[in-house]
Amino acid sequence: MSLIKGVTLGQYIPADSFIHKLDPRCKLLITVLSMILIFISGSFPAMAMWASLIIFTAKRSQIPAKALIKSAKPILVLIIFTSLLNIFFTGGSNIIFSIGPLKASVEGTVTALRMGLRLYLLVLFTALLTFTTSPSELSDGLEAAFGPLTRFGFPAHEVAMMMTIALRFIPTLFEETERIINAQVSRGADFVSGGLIKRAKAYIPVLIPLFVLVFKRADTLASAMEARCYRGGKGRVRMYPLTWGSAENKALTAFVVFSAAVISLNRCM
Amino acid sequence: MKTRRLIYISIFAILTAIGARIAVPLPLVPFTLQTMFCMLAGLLLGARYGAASQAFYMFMGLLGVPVFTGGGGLSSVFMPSFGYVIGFIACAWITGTITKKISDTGRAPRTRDYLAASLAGVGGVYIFGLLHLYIIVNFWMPGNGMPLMKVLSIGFFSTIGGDIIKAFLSSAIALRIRRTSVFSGI
Repeated sequence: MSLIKGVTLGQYIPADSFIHKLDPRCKLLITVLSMILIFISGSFPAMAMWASLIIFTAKRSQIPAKALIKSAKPILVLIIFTSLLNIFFTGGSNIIFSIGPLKASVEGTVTALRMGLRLYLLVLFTALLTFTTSPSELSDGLEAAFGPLTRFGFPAHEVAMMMTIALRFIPTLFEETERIINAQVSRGADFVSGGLIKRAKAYIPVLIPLFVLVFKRADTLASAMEARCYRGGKGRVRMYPLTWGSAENKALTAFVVFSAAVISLNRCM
Repeated sequence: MKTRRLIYISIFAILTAIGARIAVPLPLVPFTLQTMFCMLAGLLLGARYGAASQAFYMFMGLLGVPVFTGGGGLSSVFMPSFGYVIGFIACAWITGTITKKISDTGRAPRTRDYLAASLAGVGGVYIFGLLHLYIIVNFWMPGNGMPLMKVLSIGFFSTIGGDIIKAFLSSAIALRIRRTSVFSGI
């Protein structure tokens, strides 16, 4: 049985584009701003503008439309389901059609469309960030963004280091887990029949070797890091320092101008 | 010593991610091993570092590493099940705190003690999980919302049985691991 099928590390899609090359701090800032702005500007023209921005960004960063749509798939089902509820239960005087006691009103349909679209745009916008920024870049960006919080006790460097360790070990440990499961299956372990308790118990012979292996690896890694004089973030230098240059300034300015236009359009409507 | 701690926190976050993938295929109840690993984080790493490992798991998922059952990314916050991920942090913390209280009394911990700690941790998962689920379905999602009983039936009654079994499993495993020499504590 294959449990670990189709694990790809991050949704990152590498490409050579202006947006990929932007400083992660800049992209983080824009994403956070856009989440707030999409939330407060909910009219249809404003949402059309946001959608065009998302399409433009995806085009420029060579993100295939298919990947973008697929990223929002799990939440799409939910949106459709709740939109249907909204159409039929909002109530209103202008009935379009009715199925038995269910009446679809114009008001309900408009509300459903508005709420559904807004949620969908939010999801797509955040997906763009993870598509164009590799997890390690993102963790570098966050280390820098959270850097000032170090003064208040936030372990910015430690979190970034743990991220690096996790990204290195996720594929390895996933593989090892699968190997242990296969080994136990070949010895006659049965994970697919019996009641809940029997199936849960069947996992003990997988979990114990998994833990033994994990702890051994952790100890080896700790020794290796200490042998290379790792002693935390203080005084460490970077191989690729983050740079905030004119490209970042331009992108941020463009975004601010664009969102000001959207907000004023939203006000006027 | 600090390096080891860093590695263990990171590795327990990965274990929870593995837990999200190991699902016992049962109808209705998606039985994942996530809660089990977060109880184990509390039992083995203690309150502070156990909670740190689960907080880091959440952080990693939000950054877009596909460690959650539904993938990853910032938008996961809007998924109805995200509250359980917040609950994992509480779970590890509660479990760790109780374990510490028990070991402070000086007697050797028994399965019963670990089980009590794990079950209290499960309570933490549900408090946050159900709160988030209720808020999402009633205030965030369009629609007329969902009454409390309906929320409880999809978010609590259908999964609590599995979680009690996982609490048994994790206390048994934690005791076995404590007896061996592979885990020397952090």
